[in-house]
Amino acid sequence: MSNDDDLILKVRHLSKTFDKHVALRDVSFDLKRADTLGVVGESGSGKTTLARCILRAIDPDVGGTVEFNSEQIGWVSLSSLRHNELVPLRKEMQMVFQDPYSSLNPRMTVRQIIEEPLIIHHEGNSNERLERVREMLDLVQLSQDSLTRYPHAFSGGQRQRIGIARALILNPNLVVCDETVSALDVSVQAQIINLLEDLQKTLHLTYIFVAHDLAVVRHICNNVLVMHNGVVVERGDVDHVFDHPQRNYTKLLLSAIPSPDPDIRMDPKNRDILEQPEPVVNGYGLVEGPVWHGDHGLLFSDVIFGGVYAVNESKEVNPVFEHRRGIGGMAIHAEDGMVVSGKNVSFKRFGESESILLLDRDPDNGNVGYNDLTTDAAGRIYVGSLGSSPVFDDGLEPRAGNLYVIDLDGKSRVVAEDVQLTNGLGFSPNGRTLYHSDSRRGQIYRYEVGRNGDLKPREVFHEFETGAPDGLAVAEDGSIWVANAGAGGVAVLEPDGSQHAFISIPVPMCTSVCFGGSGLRTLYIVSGSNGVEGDRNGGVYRYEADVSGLPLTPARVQIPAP
Amino acid sequence: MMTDNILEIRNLGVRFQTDTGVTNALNDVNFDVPRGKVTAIVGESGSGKSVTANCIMRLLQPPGKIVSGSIQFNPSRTEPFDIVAIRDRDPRIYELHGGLISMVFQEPMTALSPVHRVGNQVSEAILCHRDVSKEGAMAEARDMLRRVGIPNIDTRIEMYPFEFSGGMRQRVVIAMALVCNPEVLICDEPTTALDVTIQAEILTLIKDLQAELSNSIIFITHDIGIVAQIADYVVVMYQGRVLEIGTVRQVLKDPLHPYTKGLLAAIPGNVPKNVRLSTIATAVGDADITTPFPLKSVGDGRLVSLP
Repeated sequence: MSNDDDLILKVRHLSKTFDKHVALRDVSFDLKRADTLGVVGESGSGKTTLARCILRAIDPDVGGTVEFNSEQIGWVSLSSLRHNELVPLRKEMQMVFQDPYSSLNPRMTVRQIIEEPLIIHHEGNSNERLERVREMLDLVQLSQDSLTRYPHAFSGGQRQRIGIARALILNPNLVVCDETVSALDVSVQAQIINLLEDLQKTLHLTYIFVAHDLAVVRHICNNVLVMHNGVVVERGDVDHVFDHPQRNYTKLLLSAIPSPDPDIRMDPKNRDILEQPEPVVNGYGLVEGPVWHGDHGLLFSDVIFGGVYAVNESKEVNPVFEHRRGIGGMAIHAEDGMVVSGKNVSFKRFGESESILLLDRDPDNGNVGYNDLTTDAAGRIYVGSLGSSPVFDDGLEPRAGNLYVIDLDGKSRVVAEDVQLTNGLGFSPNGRTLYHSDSRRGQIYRYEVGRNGDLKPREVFHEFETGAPDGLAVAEDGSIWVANAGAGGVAVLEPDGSQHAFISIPVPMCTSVCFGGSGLRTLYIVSGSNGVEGDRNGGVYRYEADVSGLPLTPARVQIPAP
Repeated sequence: MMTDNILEIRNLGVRFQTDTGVTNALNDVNFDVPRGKVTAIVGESGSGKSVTANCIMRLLQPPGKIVSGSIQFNPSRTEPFDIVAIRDRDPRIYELHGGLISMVFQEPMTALSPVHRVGNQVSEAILCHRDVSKEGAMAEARDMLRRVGIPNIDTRIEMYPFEFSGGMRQRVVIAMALVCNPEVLICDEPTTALDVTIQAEILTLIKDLQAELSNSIIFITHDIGIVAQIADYVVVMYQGRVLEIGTVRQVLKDPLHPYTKGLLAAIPGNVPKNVRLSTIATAVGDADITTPFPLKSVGDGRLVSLP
């Protein structure tokens, strides 16, 4: 458990699946006490599901956690409590609903409605409860003669005040407002917003404000989560996100707001922008080896100018370590480091400069270096070797490369031969099929995986007519996402070998792909320059995929003592 | 405003007589709807926006009753008539509904029949108003559905409304409303039930179709943002009265009536962050917004209800 005292809520990896539909996917965030967090997105984006999972109005999928900093008992994991254990905590977290008409029982008086939470939680005797109800009426600025009246006698704004009084009578710390002001006229909306803001100051409330009205969210929230298809696509300070939206979806949402100034013409973006990758960073020689790391973000190498970098979701780039040019493939290693391939395959611990050799080159065996690598579910490393070739101008007899596996004990063996130019590697979701690009032949091979990681003889899975297959990644649904060097984009292949989509990037040299971001829903696409030596047009793009990537198991290959 | 109006509403009064008393829903309402332009009626719940629309469509139901005034249709052209004065059995009522004036409602599901296929519902409007064959009507319906942006017409036309998303349903309603090329299209909060992205698509569609068909639009909304983006003229209503009329720029950039000023000050998007929102009551202050001063001209075609 945490001791972050200024936080009230820590949400980690929260997901919710209804039947087979994933309504919420891997949402994580922290919420500070007395903050107001906006949650925006279209209908069906998962905003309300998120709010309900946090309050355990519905149970999230197993695996996600919601930690709540309770005033009574400190940090507690809401997601693992039984329903009867939650009851005392419910006093500290309450919800105000959208529709002031349907959320109040028409057959109860205002007194009964506001008082009911006290009765449920066995608080006070009748006189004390009435006193509290009277206080609440004052707090939400309703007259005392409202007590004996029924909801139908009130306007929408007044009913919303009744709903707020009912939510606040137990002195909650966390209040979830689900479209609380959406159904109200602008003037009444202003009154309720002011009321919520005043109550926040006097009662030190923390709000989660679910709303589709972005102007309202901007006005009252400090931070915002932008949701699309159950995933948080963008987050941060509300002014920053609204003034400098990074994701295409946020841009689409913001561009659709009609400005109240007739001189600012609405220019709504077409939904097609969701189909286009957006640039993340640029200025590298040739970006390769992309791999997602939960803390660092996207790790990538520059083949031409050397170095390994990390770029986070806010597009900030940090160098991870220096390295000579030529890293073609990277994977995460379970021992807080990375496996990188180039002239050889080696291990590098994060924060240390030393390289520990895992697999050396072997020119006599048709091996002048290594290219892309991947890991299987056990943590073995699969890496292809580059055979000598006139391209490399190394004076050696031209010959093909091999595919190696490095077992957990650190020993390596050849599992496939005759690879002209090895490239992307990736396992199918069940781990029984390995896909492998051979760029010079323009083919993707498919191997059936035997016991101990051995490979059966390959077959050609897909052949490209234009460009050459480069790095690849596999998604949860089994689709294979292949960077096409030369054709300037990513081909999406079905497990039967058919191509069902192509995602274009603005440069032809598309070198590799990997899934990352929240829920592995973001496809990162990396590129090289336009073939001119010394150019720095290589960069990283990202694309909101309609499917999650398959998580890659970190390598667990034994690291030899240095 | 002057010259070529498609509608001229004069001294319109509507009363609702119920067991609990009499409510004057509209009091002496006066405004014009210029031909080929978008006129927005803006106001809060209960201001009389929708009652006004229902009067124009002759859809006002008891206990509501028009007690005074006139609504001149097509006053500057041939065959003008007063919508208020014609009798219920007059054939012009039939022509009015969907032929001369049609309406798009807030909730598309209530405007569509759940048990009829979309293609039949759109072509029905044509069969009602024109002497064409069923096949001809269906061909026109198909063309209209294509123009409002329904994809895969061949399959869509055979589907039922529940198989459509909210935005697509509203497109169907717009197709139904426009298929007979009415002189006036009344849009009563057509995007309130939709997501902001879909709202933007529908507003763009209405604007594009208006530019193409050059019909006159009355757009009823409480959303000032929509008014700013779609309207040429604005009519501000409050408690059954018209408080201010002008071009969109006049009214939103330089409001004259204290109520209009209050309405604009209450919008979160108009106010810097951390500044408390004005409610209309605080913005209006001591100004008198309840006395029904008659509209007076203040130049540049503007009208305002001030002493």
